Amino acid sequence: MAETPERHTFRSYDGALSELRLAAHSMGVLVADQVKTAVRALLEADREAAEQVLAREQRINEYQTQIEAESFRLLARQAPVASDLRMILAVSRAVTDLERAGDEAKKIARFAVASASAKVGPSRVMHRPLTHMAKLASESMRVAVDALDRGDAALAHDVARLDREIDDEFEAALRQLMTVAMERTRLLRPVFDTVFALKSLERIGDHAKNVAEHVVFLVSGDDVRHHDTRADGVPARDAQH
Amino acid sequence: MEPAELGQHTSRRFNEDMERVRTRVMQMGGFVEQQLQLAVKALINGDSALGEEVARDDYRVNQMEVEIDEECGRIIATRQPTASDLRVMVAIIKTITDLERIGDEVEKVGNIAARLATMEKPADNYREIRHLGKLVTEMVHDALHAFARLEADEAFEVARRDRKIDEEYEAIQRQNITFMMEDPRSIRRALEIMWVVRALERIGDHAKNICEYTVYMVHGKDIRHLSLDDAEKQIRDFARSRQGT
Repeated sequence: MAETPERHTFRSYDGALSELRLAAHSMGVLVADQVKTAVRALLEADREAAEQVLAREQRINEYQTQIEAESFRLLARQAPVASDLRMILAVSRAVTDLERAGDEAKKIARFAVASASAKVGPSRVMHRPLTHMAKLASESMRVAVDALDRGDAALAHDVARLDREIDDEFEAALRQLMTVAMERTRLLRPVFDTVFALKSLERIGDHAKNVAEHVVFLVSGDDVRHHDTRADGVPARDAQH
Repeated sequence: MEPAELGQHTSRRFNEDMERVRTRVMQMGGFVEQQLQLAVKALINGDSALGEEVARDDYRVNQMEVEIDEECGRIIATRQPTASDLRVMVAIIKTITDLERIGDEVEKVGNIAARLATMEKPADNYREIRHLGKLVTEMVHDALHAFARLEADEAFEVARRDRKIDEEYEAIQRQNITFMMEDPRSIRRALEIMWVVRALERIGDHAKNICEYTVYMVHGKDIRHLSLDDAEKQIRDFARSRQGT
């Protein structure tokens, strides 16, 4: 048996796998930054920053295309062992969520561009919840891709906790905004757009949570995507296993 | 290293596996489509029991996704599909992700329909939503049809309809804001309607994604980040250059 070429192939396959992980991580870091920048642009009426977010969206799409193509090339090249297969599947699923989170950041940036030129942005009372949610969403994205990079399921549980915090904040902000809407119907358009910006942040939290679930799948082989959550908020898989 | 006979054997088994998976995808698609119709119906008829039922049944969509996903992973791992077969598997995995998300949006519509049933109906009796719901349902149906028959041209045609849906979405949202300004008491209802319209618009996006996977499956070209016009042109050019050689 020709040992050298065999080992050579094996090593480069491992190398390709870690490059794949690294690329997904860089993509996630970029997405997290997009989220923060988009919300900052919105609150500071900074048109330039908003346009920077829109321009960088292209880069995220390129990441997605490249990582997926590489994943499928690796799948096709040799039948991977179970753990490598899980790795590749987890990365390619994570990339879908990262791209969608990037899309949400883009929506916020569009709102920022529109409100910077119309000089009507989100109501003052919304600045705090928007800032706080952007911070949480961006952080949960960072933690999720760190967890993916290290294959760390414990970190993945932190993301689930952050996501619950984001959801609570979203609900509270929405209630507060309803009061504003009822009192000042003249300003309904920005109120609407603010609802959508809050919703985008809430979605980004969901995508981060999805990425974390792909990490749990990667580490344990257990698909937790649709396990229900118990009433006390503890994920059902903790209760089951 | 593999005897040719074994190769053929593997490929025949792969084809059987793939047919079985494709059938399950179509069953999942059919169920999602039915759920969508029922959710819109629940909203228009103010039928809160139906809305709740639709929302509750979403777990079946999730179950189907996990099962098909696992099956695909197993097939890829055991059958070593060729590049073009792998493309079909990829398209299937992506399609069920979008079907599952359509299911999630439908679940939201079901829940909102249940809540709205207790409120007074708007003056237009949901005429606009009925229309949008019809467009979106047809789009999902036709996207799945193109997927099942590997019809890339049809997929392009269906994908283009997403623009029409986006326009309807914008129009309804604008109208909704006008209603609220005229009658602030209707704000609560109008906000619920806003989420319904948003969910329907999202479903159109997912149907468009399915069309893009069909094009990818047939032509091997990833068109997600291209405009539809550019994508169609590139594929035509590519086909022509193939014929030339």
